[in-house]
Amino acid sequence: MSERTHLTAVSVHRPGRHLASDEVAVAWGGSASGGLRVAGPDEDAVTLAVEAALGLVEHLPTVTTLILARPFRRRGSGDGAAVAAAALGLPASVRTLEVAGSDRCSLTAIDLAARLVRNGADGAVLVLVGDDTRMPPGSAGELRHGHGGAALVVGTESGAAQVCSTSSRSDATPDRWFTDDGTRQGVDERFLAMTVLPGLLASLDRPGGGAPHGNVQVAFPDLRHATRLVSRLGADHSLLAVDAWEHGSPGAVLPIELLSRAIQAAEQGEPIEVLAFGSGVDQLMVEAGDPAEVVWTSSHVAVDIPYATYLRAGGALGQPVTVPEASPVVAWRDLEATVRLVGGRCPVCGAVCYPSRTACPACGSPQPMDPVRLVGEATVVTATTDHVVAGVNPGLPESPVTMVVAETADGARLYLPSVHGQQPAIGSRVRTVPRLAHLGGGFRNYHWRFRDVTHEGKA
Amino acid sequence: MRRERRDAVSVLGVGCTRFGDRFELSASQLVASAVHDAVGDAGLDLSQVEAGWLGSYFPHSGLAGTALSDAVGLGGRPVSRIENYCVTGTDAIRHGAMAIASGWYDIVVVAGVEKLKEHGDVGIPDQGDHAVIGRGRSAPGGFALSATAYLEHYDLDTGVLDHVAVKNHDNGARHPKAHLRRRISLEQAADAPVVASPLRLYDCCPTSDGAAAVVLGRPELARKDRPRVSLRGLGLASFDAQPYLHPGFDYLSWPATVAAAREAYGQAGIVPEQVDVAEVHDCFTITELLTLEDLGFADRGEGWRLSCDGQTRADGTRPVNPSGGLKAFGHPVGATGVRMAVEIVRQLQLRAEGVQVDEPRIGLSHNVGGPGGAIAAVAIWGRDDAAPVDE
Repeated sequence: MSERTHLTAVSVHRPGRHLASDEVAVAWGGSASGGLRVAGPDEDAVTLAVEAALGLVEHLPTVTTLILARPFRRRGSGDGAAVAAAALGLPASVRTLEVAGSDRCSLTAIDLAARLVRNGADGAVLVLVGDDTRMPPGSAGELRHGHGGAALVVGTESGAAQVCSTSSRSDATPDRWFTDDGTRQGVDERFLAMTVLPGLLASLDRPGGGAPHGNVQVAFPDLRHATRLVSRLGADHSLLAVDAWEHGSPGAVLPIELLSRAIQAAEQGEPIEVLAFGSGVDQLMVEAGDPAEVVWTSSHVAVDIPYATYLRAGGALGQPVTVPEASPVVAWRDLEATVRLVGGRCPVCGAVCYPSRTACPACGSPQPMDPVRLVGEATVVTATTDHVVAGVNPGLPESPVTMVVAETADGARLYLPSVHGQQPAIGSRVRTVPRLAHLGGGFRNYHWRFRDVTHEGKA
Repeated sequence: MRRERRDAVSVLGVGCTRFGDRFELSASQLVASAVHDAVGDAGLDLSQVEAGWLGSYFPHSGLAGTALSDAVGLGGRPVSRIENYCVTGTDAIRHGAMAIASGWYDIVVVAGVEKLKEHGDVGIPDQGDHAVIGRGRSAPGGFALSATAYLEHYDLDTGVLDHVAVKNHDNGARHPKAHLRRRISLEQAADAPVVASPLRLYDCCPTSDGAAAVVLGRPELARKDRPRVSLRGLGLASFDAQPYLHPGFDYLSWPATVAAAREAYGQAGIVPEQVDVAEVHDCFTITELLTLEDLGFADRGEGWRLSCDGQTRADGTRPVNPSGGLKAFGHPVGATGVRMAVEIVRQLQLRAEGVQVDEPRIGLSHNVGGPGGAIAAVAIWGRDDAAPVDE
């Protein structure tokens, strides 16, 4: 196949919650500055990845395979790739698979996607990346590891960058691993950076051999070591880890965040090399394309959360409460309404409602409703910030819970919690975003919430 | 109910327990207390009661009709449980009334009960009925959606809600069976903690234990030594369970109340101006304001004015909730509609000690409930020496 392979579009997402480092320092002693963008109790690798992918909706119809890359499957997870495909409204014919196990899984997934496109198996592959892993509470790494999501469309259509080459070296060194409580542990990163990685880097095949040229971005959780590795490689560009410095390294998402910054900073056609580690190394070489094809779906404003909320979200403060209504049978029957956020349009009067009904609430027609996907923007009809509901209704984000009724462009009314601490005004714009509702029944129950976008530009 | 049936059902007797934290009494004991009161008030013996209906809402009580038959020994007689959100009590009365009006029975008892303090819940129990859809709904949160819309639409501040709270606390303080028997000031209402914005603590009714009962029967069976009160009309309207998500629903009115009131007024042959005393569903202060408008007591957007002007006080031109309402009397859900009927009958018979309004002839009781006010019922009660007036 002679057609070139491209990263047609790239999207990066950071969650809207912020954990200030000094909050953590209070708990464990010492002092710290800065902070992390972190997932809340209602976010996980899947929702973070899907929220990033919602920035690429115009490309989704071309996708024939979806690969979800996440370092670790958290408790209650099934096939996160299938959940993501449903949340993105992709047809069931889209093949889904997961790549897991290391922080370089994102580049591994891109490599795999590029091969599928190159050999003609797929026209476009959607690579999703999500990382919500946490370091053990009180560990030195805790304040380095933030969370995030990313999405890339790998295909034949040109866009953000052109894929030049990929390569990979595996290494069985037990460098990082996950414990039963879902936290990530690993060997001394200094040992990795100084002893293991240089050998791996030297073994990579570089076009032209030897030293790299162009923009080299090294994804390594300890950014000081990453910087040293960049200079050790003799690269002439500095590390573009501005987001990771400010918001914490998002693990498997970091290579994509670095790639995105590099594309935005580069001249068209400039070579960019991204390296990611974890049980080996993955290398992605691209030529920068159109920086307009790189989008960021993060909220500009982050809500500060207490350390306890962060720990609760990670499961460190006990298991979530039971939700008696959670049932795999109901989850299966209502999948269209829940994960896909599909409502019904009356074939007689055209009224749209959510969820779909057996009789039209507007005209009473008993004719089966036509499915309408309701993901997108809506206008606030009314709202309240409820200080008691979390106490009587398990499976909600941290109290108080802002509940919003908003009307979509189709005229459907959605009644959903808001992801923000602030109550949106009547008439303001909100957007549906995917969220983990709870782990009732022992599995991950996903639904949607509203994010206030009044003060945000187009994502 | 057809017009010709409107004089077919009279209230023979009424009974009600004190509402509140009744930790010491079981549901059966509460039911027994209210039923014995009502049957005694009717001057009857339980053996004369032919059938019973029990209204109770929350399933965790494990109640069936047997909770009534067991409690007072109605063994062998037909007893049913009615459950219809917060309209449960008035709907139970509707079933009893239909049985009398149809001639099926001569004397029936209708009781309502709820034990909300059994499980130490914060507020009323879990409102979720689906694992994810609608999750986050609570009673205060649901009605707060209307408060947000009402205040914004008419450019009002929360002070209009405080007047309702202060008035109903005033009334409740004078009622010996009310749950909250203390007055509050406008300042206390304004400074109270937020429950579900814009509703604060004193905008919300308490969760209470309690029971109430009425004995219904053919008019000629009523005691002759006091004014006879009959059911003149009863409308119940049920929309699908999410009317608040219908396009066009403006959060400023509950269509179920409007429909139920239209039906009840039509049956009774009266207009809203003829109602002398009303017990309306003030689960939250905003509910009373919207209900004043839905019942036609005030024009759209003017309900707050009626309240702030003092017209809804017990001594005002339009007494609403002289008992203290759900706000101060309490709201054991299944009991509430029955309790309202008890109050109205006592008002019309001029025996509402402490809270009697001036010579009422026509009274109204009203429930609205379910998500977004999906269901409402309005009952019109009249003193039979005061003839109904056709529109």
